[in-house]
Order: sequence, then C-alpha cells, then structure tokens
Amino acid sequence: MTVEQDDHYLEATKDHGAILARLARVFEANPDLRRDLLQDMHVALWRSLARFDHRCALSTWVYRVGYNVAASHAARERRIQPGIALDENLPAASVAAAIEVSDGLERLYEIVRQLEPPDRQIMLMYLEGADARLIAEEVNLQSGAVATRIHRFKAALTQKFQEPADVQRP
Amino acid sequence: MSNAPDELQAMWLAPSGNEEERMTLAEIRDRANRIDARVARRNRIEYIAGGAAAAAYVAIGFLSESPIVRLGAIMCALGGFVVMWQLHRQARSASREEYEHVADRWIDFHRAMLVRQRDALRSIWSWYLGPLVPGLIVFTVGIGEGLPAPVGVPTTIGVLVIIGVIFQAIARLNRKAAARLQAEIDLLDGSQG
Repeated sequence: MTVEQDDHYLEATKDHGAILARLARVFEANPDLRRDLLQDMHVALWRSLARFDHRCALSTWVYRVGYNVAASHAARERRIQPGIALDENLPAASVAAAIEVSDGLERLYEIVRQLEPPDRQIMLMYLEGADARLIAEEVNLQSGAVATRIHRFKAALTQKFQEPADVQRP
Repeated sequence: MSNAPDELQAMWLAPSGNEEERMTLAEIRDRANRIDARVARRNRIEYIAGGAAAAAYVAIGFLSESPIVRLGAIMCALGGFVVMWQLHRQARSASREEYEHVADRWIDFHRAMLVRQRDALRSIWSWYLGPLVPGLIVFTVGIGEGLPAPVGVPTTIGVLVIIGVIFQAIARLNRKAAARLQAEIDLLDGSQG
C-alpha cells in the first residue's frame, strides 16, 4: 500500500474509470450484481497498481484488469451462456433479443454481451477506440484477421440497426 | 485507446448517466478489508467444521475398544486435516495467482487459471482422495474384525470395494473435468498459432 499506488489509482479512474463501468455493464446484466462487480473491479485495480510497471499504457492496464475480473465473474455466475460466434452476419436470434430493448446503446450492449471470446474482446476493444494492431496483440491474432472481424461486425450491426422494423417478434 | 470514433464508438463512449460509480480511496480500502475479512471468516468456519468432524470421528472411534478401530479413526482425522490443509493451500495459491496475473492479457490470464484448475483436478488422488484411503482401510478392517466370523471378512471386503468404487467414480469425474479444461486450453493455444 503506497502513495504511488493511490496516485496511479486516482489517475487511472479519473481518465479511464468509465471503461470499468462499461465492462461491468457488458458482463453483468443485473444492476445490483453489476454494482458489486464494479466495486470488485475497482478493488482489483487498486491492488494491482501496487505493481504497475509501465509495461503497458495505463489505459491498457485498466482494461485488462477490468476485463479479467469481469470475465472471471461471468464464468462463475454463468449468466452469459452460451455465447455466440461472430459470423458474417450476427445471428437473428441475438439481434431479435437485442431489438426487444428500445435504446440503441442497450442493443449494442446486449449484442456484445452475447459474443464469445475472442470476438467479444475484439469488439469491446474496437468500441473503446483501440486500433487493430493493439487489439491483435491482446488476442494474439493477425491485425488483418482482427480488421476483418471488425469490418464484419460493423457491417452486420449497421444493417441491423437500420432495419429494426423488419424484425418479427415471436 | 484513442482513435477518431466512428458512429458506433461514439454511441458506446457517450457518457451514460450514473453508470460510472466513483469510489474514494477510503471506500476502496474499506471494501478490500471487507473482502479479506470475508475470506478469513469463511476459512475459520471451514477449519472449525473440519476440526469438529475430525474430533467427532476420533470420539466415535474411541467408543470402540479395538485398537485397530482407534488407529483408523486417528488416521482418518489426520487424513481429513491433510485434505483441509491442501484445500487451504490451493485456495491461497489461486488467489495469489489471480492477483499476479490480473493485469495480463485475458488469453494469458485465462490460460493460467485453466492450467491451475486442470492440475488440481488431475492430481485429485494425491491431495484429496489419497490421504483419506489409509485411515478408511484401517478403520473398516478394525470394524470388520469385531464382526462375527461368518460375515466379518465378506462385509469388510464389500465395504472396501464400495469405498473403492466411489473413490474411482470421483476420480473419473475429475479426470473428465480436467479433460474438458485441457480441451479449452488447447483451443486457446490453437488460436495463438
């Protein structure tokens, strides 16, 4: 427990705290459990920063800690099962489920929530603004493969967002 | 993580009300302490329960006048302590490993967790089943020795066979679970190729 650790934490949450909130929202749909998860992410981040060694950018560090804690939580809770693989088109069932909610951002969360790794991580990092090279490093794929997946995701998503009225409700 | 955002990214990154819950350093420390206290409390309960079970086992064993039954009871209790200690050791190792890897890439973090779980499942005989076997055998033989001659030996053998079958079934389930984890690890390793 050092002053430097506290300083890193304050800096990290001031600049990148919103990443943790968004990750919690992706991995936990229940608001009460999400609040707990988010607090656990903050504690894990604070603890981890005792050994922050600048091996990566602070934003990447925050993202990794948040993602790992949230993904472990999801694995324990088994609330996000089964996931879907990102295909050329997003499966209609998942999109239909997402369309059930009115807000576009909620749709986006719902769709990302249902993706399987590594697609979920690729899309999350893309949405957070990371470039294909950084994403490729994180998921150990070629930059080209990452760019292709992002392109497919964007194309499928844009199409689905443009035609919500076409989705037939059961 | 900062490129010029496109439409989807702009929607994703837009502030969304009270979702971002800030915590002060005091709140962080308080929650960290509460997490540690919860773990310590859970450990205490497990130790007390384990100790009580071991004491009960020894007490029941000492109701018998047979020295073999008494020895078996003591060995069972010792085996139980070994298992408890191993569980404690593995839990500590898991939380230490999680702490050490939490800022690694997810693929590395996840793999490390899977490998640890797989190894624990694979070695179930050495840390969970094995320590209980000697005590159970001696205890069962001691009880069987006190039974009348025509039924004593077959009953003892029967009970030992049942224990063996149950332990083998537990081991098989753990091996299957370990194989599933190995398949997941292979999948991760394959995606890294």
